[in-house]
Amino acid sequence: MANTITSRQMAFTLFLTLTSITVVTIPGVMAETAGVGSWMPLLAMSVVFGVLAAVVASLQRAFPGMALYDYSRELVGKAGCFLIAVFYVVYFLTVDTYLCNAMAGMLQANFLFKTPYWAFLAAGLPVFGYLAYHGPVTVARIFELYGMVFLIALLLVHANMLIQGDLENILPLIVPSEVGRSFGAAGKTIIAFLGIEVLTVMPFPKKSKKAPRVAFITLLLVGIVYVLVVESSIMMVGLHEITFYEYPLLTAIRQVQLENIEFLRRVDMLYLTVGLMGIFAGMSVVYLAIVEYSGRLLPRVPRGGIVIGAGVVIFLLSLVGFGIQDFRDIIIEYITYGGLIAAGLIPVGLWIVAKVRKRV
Amino acid sequence: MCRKSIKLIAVLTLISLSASGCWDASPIEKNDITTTVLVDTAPGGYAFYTEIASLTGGGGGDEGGGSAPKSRVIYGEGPSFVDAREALERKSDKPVYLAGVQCVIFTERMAYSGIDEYMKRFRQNPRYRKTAMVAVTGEKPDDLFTAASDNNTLVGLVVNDTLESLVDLGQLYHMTMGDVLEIIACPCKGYLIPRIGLTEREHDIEVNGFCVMDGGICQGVIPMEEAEFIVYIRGNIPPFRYTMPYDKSSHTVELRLKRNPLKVDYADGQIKFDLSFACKADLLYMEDHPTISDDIMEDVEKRLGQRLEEEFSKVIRMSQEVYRLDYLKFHEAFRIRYPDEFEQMDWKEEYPNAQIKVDVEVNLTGSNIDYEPES
Repeated sequence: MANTITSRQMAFTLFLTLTSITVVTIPGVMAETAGVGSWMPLLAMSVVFGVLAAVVASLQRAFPGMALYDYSRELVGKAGCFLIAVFYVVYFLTVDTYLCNAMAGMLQANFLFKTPYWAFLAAGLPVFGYLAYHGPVTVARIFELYGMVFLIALLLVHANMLIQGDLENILPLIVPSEVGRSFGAAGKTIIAFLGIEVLTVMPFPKKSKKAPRVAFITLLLVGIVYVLVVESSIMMVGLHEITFYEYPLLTAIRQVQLENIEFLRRVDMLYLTVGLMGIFAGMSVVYLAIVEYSGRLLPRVPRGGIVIGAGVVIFLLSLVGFGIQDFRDIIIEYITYGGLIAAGLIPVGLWIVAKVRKRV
Repeated sequence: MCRKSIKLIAVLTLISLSASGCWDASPIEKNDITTTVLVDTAPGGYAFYTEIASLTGGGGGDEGGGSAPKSRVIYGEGPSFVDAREALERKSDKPVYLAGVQCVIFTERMAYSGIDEYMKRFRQNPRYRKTAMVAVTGEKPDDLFTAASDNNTLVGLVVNDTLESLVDLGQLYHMTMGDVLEIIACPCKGYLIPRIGLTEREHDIEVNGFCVMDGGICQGVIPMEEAEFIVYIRGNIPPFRYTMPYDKSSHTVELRLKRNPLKVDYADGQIKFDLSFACKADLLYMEDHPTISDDIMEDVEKRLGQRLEEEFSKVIRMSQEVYRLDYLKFHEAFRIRYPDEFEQMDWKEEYPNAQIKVDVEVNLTGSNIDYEPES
C-alpha cells in the first residue's frame, strides 16, 4: 500500500478542508460586505491562494514522502524547524477549536436545540481522533471517496437553488461604482481559503509533476464553488435579508423545495447528512495536522497518546470558548493572521530557501 | 479482542446517540403539531391562535364512526408577542411544534396595525419553516376555525392547498413568509398578500383579494375581480381564459401571455418603462354565432389587444395613483439598469411619476370555431 497521496486525493482533501464551515457562513458575510459584486473578491482570492497552494504542493513534491516538519530541518535548521512546528501546533489547535465551536453552535442553533455543546464534542472528537490516528494517507483516501459524494450533493442542491431562486437578486453583476467596495471585502474571504496549510502534513510521491498545477486548479474550482454557494443563497433569500442570518446557507437551503423528488423534499436534511460530513472532514484533517506536528515534536510519546491528548485539549479549549462572548469573531481574526503565516509566509519562505539551495 | 470490543462499544454508543437525536429526541405524540398560526390584535396587545392537528382524529365526526375531530385551537393573548406566546404555552398540554406550520394568517386589523414586529420574531425562530404560506383574513378568527371544524378540515392545510392550486393555475403567485421577509428587508417594500375569507353559502375558505402592503402596514384591499391582471403582469403564467365583451355579446379566448424583457429608460429625471407582451390568443367560443370572417377576426384581434392593454394599464394606474406604491416590482428592472441612480433616489417618491407604456401584441387564431380564413 502506497504511503503517499495522489493528486486526486490532494484535490479532494483541499476541497473538503476549505469548504468545511465557511461555506455555511460566507453568503451572509459576502452579501453584507461586497453586495452584488461578491463574486469578484472570491475569484480574485482563489487565484492568490491558488498560487500559494501551488507553492506548498511544489515544496511537498520536492521532498517526496516527507512532511514540512521533516524537510524544514534541512532547510532552516533544528531551531527553525522546532519553532515552525510549535507555531503549526498552536495554529491548528486554534483552528480546530474554532471549527468545534462553530460546528456545535450551528447544530444547536438549527437542528438539535436542547443538546448541550459538550455532547457534540464528546460525540465528534473520538471519531475525528480515530481518523487522525490512522494517518494522512488513510484520511486522504477517505476524502477522495467522500469528496465525490459531497460534491454531487452540493451541485444538486445549488443547481436547484439557482433554478428556484430569484435572478434579480444578484443583478447587476457589476456596479462600476461599487467595484472598490467589492474588492475591499477581499479580507473577509481569506478565512474561506485557509486550509491549504494541511497539505504540509501530506506526503507526496516522487513523481508528482502535476501536483502544483492540480493544487492551483483546485483552488480556482473552490473559488467557483464559493461563488455558486454565495450567489445561489442570495437568489433564494435576498441580498438584504440574508445579512440577518448567522447561518445563511441553511436558511437558503430550507427554502428549496424539490417537490418532484419525494425522498429529497427536505433538502436541509440532505445537507444535515452529507453537508455536515464536509464539516466533519475539515475538522478531522485539522485534528490530523495537530497530531502529525505534535508527533514530530514529541517523538517518544505513542501516537495513541498524542491523539487522546490533542482531543482532550481541543475539548477543553472549545468548552472555554463557549463561555467567552463573541468568541468566534475574536478567534477568526487570529486565525486569519495566523493563516496568512501558516499558508503563506512559512511555505513561501521555505520555498525561497529551497530554490536558493536548488532543491525545487 | 479487548480493543475490538472497546471499538465496537464506542461505535455503537455514537450511533445510538446520533440516531436518537441526543437530547432532542421527542416522540411525535408528545408534541402539539401546529398547522396554522393566526396572529391577531387583542385589547392592549396581541393574540395567537394555533391550530393543533390531532394525530388520532380525522374521521367524519360523530356520524362517521365517532372518531375525534381533526384539530383543536389554542388561544393565547398578552400585551406583547412574548406574553401571548407564554399564555399559549400555558394552555397547551404539550410543547408547541412549529415546523409543521403550513400557513401563517394575519387578521386584517393586525395587518393594518403592522406585522413588522411579528416578522422579525418569525425571522429569529429557526423552528418555523420560511416556506410557510402567508395570508390575511377579514373574517373573525373564531369563524374561520369553526368553519374548518364544521367541515372537519384543517385551516392550515386548506389555505395552503388553495393557494398552491391557484399558483398552479396561474391565478396567484407564490407568497411565503420567507418572501415577505425578503421584501421588507429591501429598500422598496411594496408587495401583496393574498386575502382569504369564507364563502357565504358553504362557509368554505376562498381567496377573495389581495392586501396591499407597504413594509409591515396594510394600505388597503384589492378585491379579486380587480386583481386578476396583477398576477398576469408578472408574465410566465400558464394559459388562461378570458371573456371579452364584443358588441352586444362576448367572446371567450384562451390567452398565452409572454412578457418581453422590460425596457427601462431614465433621462432628464423622468423614469420610463416599456412593458410589452406577446399574446397568442385562441378564440374558443362565442356567446352567439356571428359569421366569422377575416375582417371580424382582425377586429377581434385589435380589440382584444386594446382591451388587454387597458386591463394592464388599470392595474398599473391603481398602483401609481391609488396606493402610490410599487407592489408590481418595477423597481427591480430600474435598479438593475440604473443601480447608482436608484441608490440616490427615493423610489417611493419617484414611482408614482414614472411613465409606463403598455403594449400587447395579439396573434389571434380560431382553432375551435367554425372559421376558415379566405385563401
